[in-house]
Amino acid sequence: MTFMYSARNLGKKDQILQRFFEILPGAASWTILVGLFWLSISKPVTASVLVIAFLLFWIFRLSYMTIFLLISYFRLAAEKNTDWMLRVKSLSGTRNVFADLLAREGSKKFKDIISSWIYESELKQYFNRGALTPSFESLIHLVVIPIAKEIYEIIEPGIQSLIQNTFPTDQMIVVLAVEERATDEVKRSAKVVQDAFSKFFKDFLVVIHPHEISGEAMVKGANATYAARKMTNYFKDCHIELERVVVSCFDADTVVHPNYFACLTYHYLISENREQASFQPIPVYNNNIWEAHGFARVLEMGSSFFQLIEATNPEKLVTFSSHSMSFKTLVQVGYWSVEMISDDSSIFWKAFIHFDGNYRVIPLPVTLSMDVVDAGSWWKTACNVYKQKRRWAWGVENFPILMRAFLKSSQISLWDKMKHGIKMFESHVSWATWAIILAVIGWLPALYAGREFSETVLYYSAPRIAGIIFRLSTVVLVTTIVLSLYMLPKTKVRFPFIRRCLLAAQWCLLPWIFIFLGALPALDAQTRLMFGAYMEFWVTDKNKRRSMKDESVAKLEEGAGKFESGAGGN
Amino acid sequence: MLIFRRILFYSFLTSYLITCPLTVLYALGLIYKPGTEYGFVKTGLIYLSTAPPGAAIYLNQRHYAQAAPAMIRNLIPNNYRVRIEMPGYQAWEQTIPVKAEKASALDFVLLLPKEWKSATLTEGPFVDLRGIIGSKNILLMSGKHLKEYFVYSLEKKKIFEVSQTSLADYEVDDLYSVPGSSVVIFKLVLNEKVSYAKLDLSNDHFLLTDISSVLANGFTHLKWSSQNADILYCWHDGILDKLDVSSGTVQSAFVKDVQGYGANNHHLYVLKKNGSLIKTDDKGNDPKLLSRDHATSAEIFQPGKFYDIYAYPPDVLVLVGESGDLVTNRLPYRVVDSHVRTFEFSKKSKRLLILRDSLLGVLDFSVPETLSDEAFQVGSKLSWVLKERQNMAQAFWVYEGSHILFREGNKIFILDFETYEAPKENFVVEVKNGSSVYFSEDSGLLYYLDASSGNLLSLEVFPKKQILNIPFPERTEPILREDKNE
Repeated sequence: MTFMYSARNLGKKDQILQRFFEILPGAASWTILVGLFWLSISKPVTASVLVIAFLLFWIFRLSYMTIFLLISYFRLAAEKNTDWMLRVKSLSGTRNVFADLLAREGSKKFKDIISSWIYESELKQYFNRGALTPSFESLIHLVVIPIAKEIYEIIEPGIQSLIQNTFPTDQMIVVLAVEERATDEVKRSAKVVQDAFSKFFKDFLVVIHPHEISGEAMVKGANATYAARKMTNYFKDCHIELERVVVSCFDADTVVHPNYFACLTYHYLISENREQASFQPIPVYNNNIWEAHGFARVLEMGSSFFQLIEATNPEKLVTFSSHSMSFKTLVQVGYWSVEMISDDSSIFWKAFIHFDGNYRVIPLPVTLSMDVVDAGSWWKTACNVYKQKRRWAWGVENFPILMRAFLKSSQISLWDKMKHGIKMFESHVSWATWAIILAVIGWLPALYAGREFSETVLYYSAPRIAGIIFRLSTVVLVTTIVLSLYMLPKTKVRFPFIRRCLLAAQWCLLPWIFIFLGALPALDAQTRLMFGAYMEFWVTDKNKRRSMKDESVAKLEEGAGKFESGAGGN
Repeated sequence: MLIFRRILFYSFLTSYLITCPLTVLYALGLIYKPGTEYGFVKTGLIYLSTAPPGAAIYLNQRHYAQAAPAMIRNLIPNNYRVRIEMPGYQAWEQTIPVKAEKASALDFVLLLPKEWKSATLTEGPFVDLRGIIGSKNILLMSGKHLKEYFVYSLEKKKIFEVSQTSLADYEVDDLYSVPGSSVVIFKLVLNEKVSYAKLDLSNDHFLLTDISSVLANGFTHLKWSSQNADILYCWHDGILDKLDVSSGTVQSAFVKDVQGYGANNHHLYVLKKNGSLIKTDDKGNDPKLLSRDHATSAEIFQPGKFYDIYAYPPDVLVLVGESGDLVTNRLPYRVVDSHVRTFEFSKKSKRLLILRDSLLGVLDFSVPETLSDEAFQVGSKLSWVLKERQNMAQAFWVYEGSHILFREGNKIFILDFETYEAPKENFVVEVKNGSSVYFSEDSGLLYYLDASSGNLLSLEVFPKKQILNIPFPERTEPILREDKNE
């Protein structure tokens, strides 16, 4: 379906629909919160019954999600030692297709059994389809890294991680998409990185995104899209078919797992309709986990867990943060949105609508690591985290556009429309309301109890039931803490035991974190959308608490004055 | 994975759809009754919290597994005989009515010891005492002269002489104090010469200051705010003077045509002779007219009689006339016509304890919602809980307003007000003839003079430190028990 995935330049009817669906999530969240508050004071019995029903729903949902968190974690752990490159070569016929299975034959490790079983079943499906698979050697991985204010220290580890990948780097092209409005230091850093690392890749380009292009907002997607458009011409010039290119759009601080591109390639090759799929790794925030503030650490760990859970449900999975897809598809759907902040999820919806619902996200059992927000002092960090989460929550901007598209589309099934529409609406509303209901409003009926309510059985039962439910939730919390400790990077730190204990203890901050850095930013974003106060992109501070290496400083100095705008390369 | 996910999803959904209504019904007090008359039955509960905690509970003579504090759920509506027992304490027994979907809660069941145990604090003999509520001190008297007055510090557990100054030989003619203030003012007389001394007990070193110069004009009534004892308000002949003790300045006729006044929380309340009621700050600024209904004032206040005004947060005003009539700012306004000897307000239960010679009453300011449908508005309700008694002199709220401790002649009694039955009284101790007693809610102790030796003794009325917090939000209003006091 041809649909302009945008909130701008709409006809009158579309404008009305757009505004209606913009108001809906915020109005629903506020109605729930204010309604429950009002009920707590005026009809405490009704409010208490609703709160009990909600608490039960919450503990059931929490338990349900924890089961999938564990499954997802075990899946990730099972593939930890998988030789993805071996599997890639097997699919391309350069190795025995059963080489990986033979290598693990006889292994009694549960992880190996699970991994082999999944591989075997994927192979069965693959052979049953009888589809032809392109050789991995013909594939090119394009890595687009948008940069606005990230300097050498932020970019360099990510580039190093690309070099250290098991997939041949001579099949990789790296593009640093730098904003023209970025400082000279940022531009110099990009050039230094290009000079230092271009020799490792098929090509390494720096593309400067001009400021104030008509029709663009100050968003990351505009920068990435500009670079991608340039690369389309580049591929044409180099006679590289777009079908051969897999594009990955990474944040500047993204450090990929050594197996990332091998795993991506394997899943790209083995997937049916590979061009109608995005590939989503598990984002973790381990780069500076030991240096970050406790609350930011807990919050980002929570984000990773959320993605782990989401990964178990590919039917409803949506792209988030760094991800990969066919470059041909990217071009077909009109690149990333140049006016939306949530470019990472909007690209999925664009493709989903473009292919009439025949587009999906394939979860990758591999991680890529990013920085936890760190702006120095805890207060600045908290402000940064708040803005970052508000930016994430601004993903609600997709809801009105998606609803308009669903109303227009006759090709997308009603089931898919319901499934995705309800999920998006429910997830944003619950994001803004649950923590506030759990921590504040849920207690109001008892606190503001008048004589009539305080004489009821319910007045005495409700706190008891809430107590039991909260005690049950500690089981989930303990599971989460244990998993968070398992997911920590293996880097050596001083006093590891004490630091791990402190990290576990920091989970006690969860109620406050979920209110102030979870629900409130989401409510803020929804309220802004409700009132038409649209947001622009804001780049999070992600300081590395280490000084630039002397060598790097020298390179930066060396690079100064040599920067050339536009696509370069060697 | 998809199939597994769907199976799990529908399992959870089914579990929730079953569990949720059952839990809500349970929370509302509905239980399933098996047998021939099966079906859902509305139940009630009894909540009991005792001081001290840990007492055994018997319900209709059957031992309940949980010790107090306990919540006994799933009770079919009926009357239940509840007995609470604890070694060393008198058994507590009562019939508690249980109604469908209602909680019958007794949050403050006070177990009375079989033998009241007292401790000697200091040896006398003393003839009288007075508790200084704002300072955790007790004023002890062994005679009429100031040198025979002592301060017993409850914190230091030591006794101090009030005066070693030139005022020591003066006879104490009158003594003024204000609830919540750590200051006492003595009216002293020596050979018809009148002097005034201010005793400040707020510091470690008790300070006695001669303030005769600022009180030279004389007065009939003397008051000050518990927050600022440097500013005194004196009333005489319908005129209110303002005295600054620290600077020695006197502002004569600060307010004229005054029929009554009171000082509370940095505010001055003045009842004018024309019936208007005014509230100002303690400097006389920012006046607010609280009442201008002169006709009503003429009906509720006795003309030409002085009224003491007491303000209790958030909005209760009590006015006591010199003939012992008691007026409040809640309907029916004029509550008692005469002979009120003393009263005490419980902020917790919003109730005023009123003591007359032979009557002990409770004025309830928490308007019962169940009465709100009545044609005539109910602002407060007075119940006389004890009648036809002799020489009742003092009364205190005890244990969060759940009990009343009162002195009748030389005998101290405690009245159990936390009950669904008629309040029960128990004898506590006999005190020295003609002496006062002092009860501190902070410590749970009664201070009195021994009947025979005149020593200062303390007696634990309730074990303050052992009380367990109830696992529910603190109730702000007392539970209504219909006409139990009638």
